[in-house]
Amino acid sequence: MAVQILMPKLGMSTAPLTLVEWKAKEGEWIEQGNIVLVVETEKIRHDIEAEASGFLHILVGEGEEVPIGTVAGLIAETKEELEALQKERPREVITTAAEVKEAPPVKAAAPVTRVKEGERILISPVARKMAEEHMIDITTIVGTGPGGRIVREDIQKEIEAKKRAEVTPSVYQGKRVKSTIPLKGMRKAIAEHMHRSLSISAQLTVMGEIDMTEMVKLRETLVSQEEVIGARITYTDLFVFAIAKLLRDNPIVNSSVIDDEIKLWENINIGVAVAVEEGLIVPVVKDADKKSLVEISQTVRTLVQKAREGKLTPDEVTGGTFTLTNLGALGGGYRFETVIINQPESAILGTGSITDRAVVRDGQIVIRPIMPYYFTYDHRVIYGAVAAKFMASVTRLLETPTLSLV
Amino acid sequence: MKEITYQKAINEAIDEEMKRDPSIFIIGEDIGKHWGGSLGELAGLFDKYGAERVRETPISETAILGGAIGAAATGMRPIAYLYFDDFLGVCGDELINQLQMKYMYGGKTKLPLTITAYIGAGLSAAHQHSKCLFGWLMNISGLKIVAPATAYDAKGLLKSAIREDNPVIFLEHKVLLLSRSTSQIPNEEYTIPLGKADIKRGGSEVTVVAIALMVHRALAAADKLQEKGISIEVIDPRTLVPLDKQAIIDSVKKTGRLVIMDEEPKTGSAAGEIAAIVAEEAFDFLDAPIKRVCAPDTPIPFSPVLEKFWMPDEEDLIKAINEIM
Repeated sequence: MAVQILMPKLGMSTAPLTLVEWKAKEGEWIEQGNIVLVVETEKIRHDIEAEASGFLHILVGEGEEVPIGTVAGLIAETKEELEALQKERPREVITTAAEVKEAPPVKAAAPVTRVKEGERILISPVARKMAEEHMIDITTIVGTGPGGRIVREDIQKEIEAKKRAEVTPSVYQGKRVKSTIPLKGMRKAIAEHMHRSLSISAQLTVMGEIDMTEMVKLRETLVSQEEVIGARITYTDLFVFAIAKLLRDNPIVNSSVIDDEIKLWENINIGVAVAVEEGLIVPVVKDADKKSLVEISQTVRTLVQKAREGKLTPDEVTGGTFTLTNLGALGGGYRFETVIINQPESAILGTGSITDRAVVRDGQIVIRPIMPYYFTYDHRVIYGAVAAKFMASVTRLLETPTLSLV
Repeated sequence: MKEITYQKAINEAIDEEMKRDPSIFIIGEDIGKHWGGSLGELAGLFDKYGAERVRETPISETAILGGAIGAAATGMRPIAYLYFDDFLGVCGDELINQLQMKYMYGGKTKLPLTITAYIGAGLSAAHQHSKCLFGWLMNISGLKIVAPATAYDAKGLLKSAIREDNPVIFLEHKVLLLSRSTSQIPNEEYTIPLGKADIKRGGSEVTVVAIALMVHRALAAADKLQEKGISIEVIDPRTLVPLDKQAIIDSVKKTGRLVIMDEEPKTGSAAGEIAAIVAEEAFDFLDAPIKRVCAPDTPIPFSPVLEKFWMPDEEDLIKAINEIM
């Protein structure tokens, strides 16, 4: 029984293959495992090995282009069989796609892991550092140093290979990669912090609207008195001021779960989320409840400035007991989102942009400046009723800011 | 420029300094009229400066160093001629307790004192005349250590050592003192600052730090390796205290490989200290383990055959380098 020489499927490509070269002549003896045929597709050459020893009978000539699955040749066990084949099936293009349901898979050129699980990789310190900096997987590298140690030269070669690969877009799991952003530094910290927050606590978000009519007026007044006050008051300043007062009356909202205890904090330290180029950072207004509005305003301004310049000290970004993320300035209109708690705090308040909306007041449809809010809380600590009560008090104070005088 | 031997370089340095500064005197054994230093490096100085300034003593290391310390503390600038560094144990108290006087008196006194001593094997002079006590001396705080490899370095560094206001030990390798080979030095006066290494040969693949006589063996090995296409940088620290760490680290940053060649038992050696510094401060630049080419941890054999085996040589260095390439 003659053995077929099939045109293989190379990786993901379905394009036809070109026969480049037969490594043996018609009728010649070939050995199993030796290369019998060279084919080419989309500029990739591939060697086909003989699957059996025997006499070669060529069906498709060099230079011809044939689909995957074509039988390009046959290997006969004996001279007699060869002669019979030469009579029965002379050289011609025979498409056997119907017969061959699937082309034989070619051994994939998957990255070969050189190191067994748990085995120590011999690598020099400088090579390890370079590999880390260039995000090179050292388990796939064969070291050329003494005793197979991976040395600087090996990593250098890998870096160069990577650079060449980057010129032509690389492919990952069948998709072409446009560019790669290393997940490290601030990005990595944010990623881990956010994921951890969601995985260790029971977060849910209550959302609603606040009528900002009075707050808008109040702020306009404050802005018009900027020179008298000595600061240009922002909505963020006003929110920090208001929340600080309300947290004093709702200590459970100003708490943290630490081990098997809920610690209610005496200090009211309000983190203010600031978007920066690399991501997000939350500097903290310490003892916000003891500060005047002007002091809060000055503190926030300084912290935001430092955040943008990357000059915040560790002390300025730790110790928060509650976080405010005011997304109003980012625009986007009337919308809601589920903000994520900044651990180990128990709640975070997000505020959206103030948008004119139609609302009903005293049986009439009227236009009012409406601000959406999103209050995410940790249900391990704060229950629905407490959250509702807290947000009711926030809403009341922001809708009737005169109450802050009492 | 002129050609000068290592021995002559030492003679010139002391002569020039004694001429310049009358507070300088030498005190020690066999330095007077008859010997002029046991290897002749002080020849002519007794005739020139007399017995007051070239003071010959009995065999009395404690008195030599103790007297020098007293003189230094009271305004003189002595050169204590200790003969062999192997004899330093005799004046151990002076060395490890009294030299630190300035520190102990809160800086109220200074101690401008130079100790000179022979070091090294190669003359089949047996264990008690052949040691390089670099590691041992480096562990004594408050003592600067100079170990020059060439005549040029010897002269420039000895002048700086004599002018230094703190105790310095100046170590002269016997093989170099007896060598007829010369180096070029300027006709005019020059000094070399303490604490500045010298790159004796530039290279890109392996940094070899070699001390004293070993510098010459490292250079010879570097020539041989060059033929095989391996590029060696040879650094001579010249002074072990203060040590020019930066020069060594800068070189390792370039080559990624460090071998230290040091003629003393490996354990507790200067080579160990240099290796530790690089491991600690330049770990991320290392591309291979640090190698120390040192002597075995044994006393130095008297037998010339065994002594040759004991001393690190070119072949030992080449073998170590091949292990990390």
